Amino acid sequence: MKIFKSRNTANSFFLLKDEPQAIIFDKSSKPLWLLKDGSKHNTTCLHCTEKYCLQFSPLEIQPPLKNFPTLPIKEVCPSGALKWDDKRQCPTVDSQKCIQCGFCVKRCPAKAIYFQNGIHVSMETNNINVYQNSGRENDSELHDKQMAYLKSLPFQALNISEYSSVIREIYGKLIHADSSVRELFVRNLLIILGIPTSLRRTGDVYTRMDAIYKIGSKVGPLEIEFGQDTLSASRRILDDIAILHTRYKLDKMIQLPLVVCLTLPNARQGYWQVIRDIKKVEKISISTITVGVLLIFLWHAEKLNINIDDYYIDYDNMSMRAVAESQLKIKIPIAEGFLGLLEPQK
Amino acid sequence: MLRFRNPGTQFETQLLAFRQVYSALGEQAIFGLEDIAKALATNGLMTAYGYAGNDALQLSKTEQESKNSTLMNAKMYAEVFRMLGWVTPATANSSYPLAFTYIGAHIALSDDDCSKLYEQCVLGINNPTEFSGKMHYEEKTRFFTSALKSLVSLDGVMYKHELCLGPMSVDDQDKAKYQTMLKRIRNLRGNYERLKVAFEKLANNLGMKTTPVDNCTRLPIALMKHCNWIQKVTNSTLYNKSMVCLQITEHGKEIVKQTSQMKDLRLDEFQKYDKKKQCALIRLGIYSMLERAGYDISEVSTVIAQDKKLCADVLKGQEILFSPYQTIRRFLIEEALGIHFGTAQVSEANNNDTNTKTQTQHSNQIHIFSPANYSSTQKGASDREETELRNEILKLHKNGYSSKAIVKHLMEKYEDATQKEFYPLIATIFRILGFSCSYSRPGDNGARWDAIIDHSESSIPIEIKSPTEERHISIKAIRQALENKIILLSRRTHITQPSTSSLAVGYFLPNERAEVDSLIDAIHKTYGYNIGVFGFSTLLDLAVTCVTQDKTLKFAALSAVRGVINENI
Repeated sequence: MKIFKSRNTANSFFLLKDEPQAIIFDKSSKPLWLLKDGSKHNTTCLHCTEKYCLQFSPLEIQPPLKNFPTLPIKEVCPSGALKWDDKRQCPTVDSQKCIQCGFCVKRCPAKAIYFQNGIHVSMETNNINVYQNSGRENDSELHDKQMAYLKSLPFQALNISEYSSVIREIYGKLIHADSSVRELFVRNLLIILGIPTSLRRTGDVYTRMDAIYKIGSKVGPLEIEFGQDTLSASRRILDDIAILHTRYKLDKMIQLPLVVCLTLPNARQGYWQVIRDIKKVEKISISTITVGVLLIFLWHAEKLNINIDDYYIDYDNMSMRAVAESQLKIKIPIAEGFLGLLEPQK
Repeated sequence: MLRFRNPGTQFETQLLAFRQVYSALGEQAIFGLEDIAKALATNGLMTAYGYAGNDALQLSKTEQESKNSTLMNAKMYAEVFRMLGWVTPATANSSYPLAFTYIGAHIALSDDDCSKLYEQCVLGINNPTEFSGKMHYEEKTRFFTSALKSLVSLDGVMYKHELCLGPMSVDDQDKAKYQTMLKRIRNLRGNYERLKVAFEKLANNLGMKTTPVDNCTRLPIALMKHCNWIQKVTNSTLYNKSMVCLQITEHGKEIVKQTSQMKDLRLDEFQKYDKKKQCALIRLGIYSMLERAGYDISEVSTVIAQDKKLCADVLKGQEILFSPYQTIRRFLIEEALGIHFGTAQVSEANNNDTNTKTQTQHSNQIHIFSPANYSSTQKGASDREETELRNEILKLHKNGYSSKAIVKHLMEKYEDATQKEFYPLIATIFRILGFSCSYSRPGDNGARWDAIIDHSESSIPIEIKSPTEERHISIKAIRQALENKIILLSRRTHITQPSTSSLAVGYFLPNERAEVDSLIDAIHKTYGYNIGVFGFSTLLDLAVTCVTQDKTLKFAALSAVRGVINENI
């Protein structure tokens, strides 16, 4: 029986003539490849076979826990704004749908996707530093090597001079997004930060946590709370811990429960005290982190090394500014209380 | 009207599940629902009551097939796979067992996400087919091309109920009927009441309620969204009211353009041709689906050219739109392609035999109505609310009402009670039972619980859900009862012990009994706490017993309850 091969996976990739030494980001222009001879060339899409900007590999979306009912979505773009254009053979961005999270920017090895008043894809068919694969035997191997090399280049801070305005814009879009987009947004953000995360399969009412994630050998339940009902998140997470404890044989004391929220609850909200009560009575520390802080890590960090354990905050200390700044080794240029990113708004 | 059932609509899950089933059973398998269930459950793709693997299979064995969650899950997947033409009935006369198809093999064995072949399979859905004998509808249509065409004709936007009234209820190749349908929808527009009445009338004619008719739009909308043919938009102009509507995308318009230039071959026409031509049309149908989905079919270009020549009078130079596996049974298709699926031995499980089934109990039913749990100890002085309720019960009792009738009367009296009325009432009932119980004012965030039984050693927090908050108590209340317990132990506003129960009281007992039971069980195993659940009628029953027999309930009967307190005396 003949099973045909998809033309979509045919070898239509591009190769670099010279591998760049570095990628230069400039606010006023497209990203540039800096070659060994000192010349600079615009980056351009290499039509890589793996399509890193569009899809996670099966390994990247493998559930961190055996038998966890996982939603097996491969897409990197949570809002479906980034699609592959068959005619032009490159990714295209639907600016109406784009949240401007920068996941695709971060994932593109060639840095052909970039921020500049929105997300853009550099597609230059006449770029003098690239040539099209001509089907020679070692082209595929060379392409893989070049991709690995590009991915190994030091990551530089993206072209975002003003975190606050970009985060405000992204938050504005996330608030109005479907819950499925929000959940995918958080999952993808964590995966790109190097934290394996799986969303629960839709409709599995007996496994109620939004997601699970893994750091080192530790697994934890994850609740995603984009509204004001953070108290419900702390309740849900106790339920999640019990499910993992009883059905997945993960002792409650070794779990890493985490609430990812858009905005920290206000100081007067019951959440903070309840988190402290749970720690006092159950000795379980529920960490809390905002999407904004995770985005700052995504955009800024040269090497990503988030220790979720450090993000335990409660009624006695409701700010994550100190720990985030110490991990990022920068002073975060965001005003106190701004959108409840680092400390409660009020 | 076409009835699309509402199985899982997540494309990625369908694809993963199908690949898992294909890999587990092998391409030559003849299989039934139990085989699918086993393949999915053992690979963690399906759970029962939150358990995976063999635990899931064991837990879901039940007397009634419709309550067997893994079997029902497998059925859901099988229906989707069959609708998309990835599996097909293995025999000529019945729906099960199933065999894989040539298109299914491509889906299972492709390296990529198959979204383009998936799109072709969605376009392949048409009616009638050789399998549609048992269907409750008779529309002759290729629904998705018809729906997209309707969207274009109706200014690019439709409301979901217009799908039911329009393309789901029309023979799309009958030009006159199709135009009448469009005209009818245009006439409905501008007045939401007109649409509502038309939709209700449709449901009535179908002998259905409006909700299940509405549910029939979920699958087609999900499929069209996944194929990027439509997007949801908020529209205020169609019916002078802000509504979430479906808007055709550029890609959707492109599909309309492409398919309108194709030869759309349906069952009735196919059946008119001789076998030689039918085989050629089958090959052309399948190869064209694969080609449009981006597969390199150059190896069979000679066969295609010969078939096109043979079918020139049918095609008239057009590309064919025909999905054989979604239209006819597999035997002629396999003959035409020179392949054969389903050569494996039939396994015993294929008959969906349920002879090993056992009933699994999930409920922690507690009986506290034993006479030993009552005490003859007289209560102290009663407050006004307590006295009023006591007097009401006594009066009904004197008038000859049985206990059951008194409970029924009071249930009805408070069926629309709000928090303001219901919380104090529950506290009053607990006082009638003999406990010192006070309620927290709604909105008092300091006291997280809604009421509390104060005790010198073992105070019990109570989470209450009034009938206007939720009719049936849900897992939300159980979670809150757990939180109440932890807060009480932490803040020590009342003395209590870890082993003392935390209660949840609602108007009716949980609808999803198994979910609540399993959560209560998990909480006990994980944190060691006892959560007890009361329905309103149970509490009333206890109160009636205490008032009419001048008794109180022993604290010990209540202080360590865990699970749903059984209503049956």
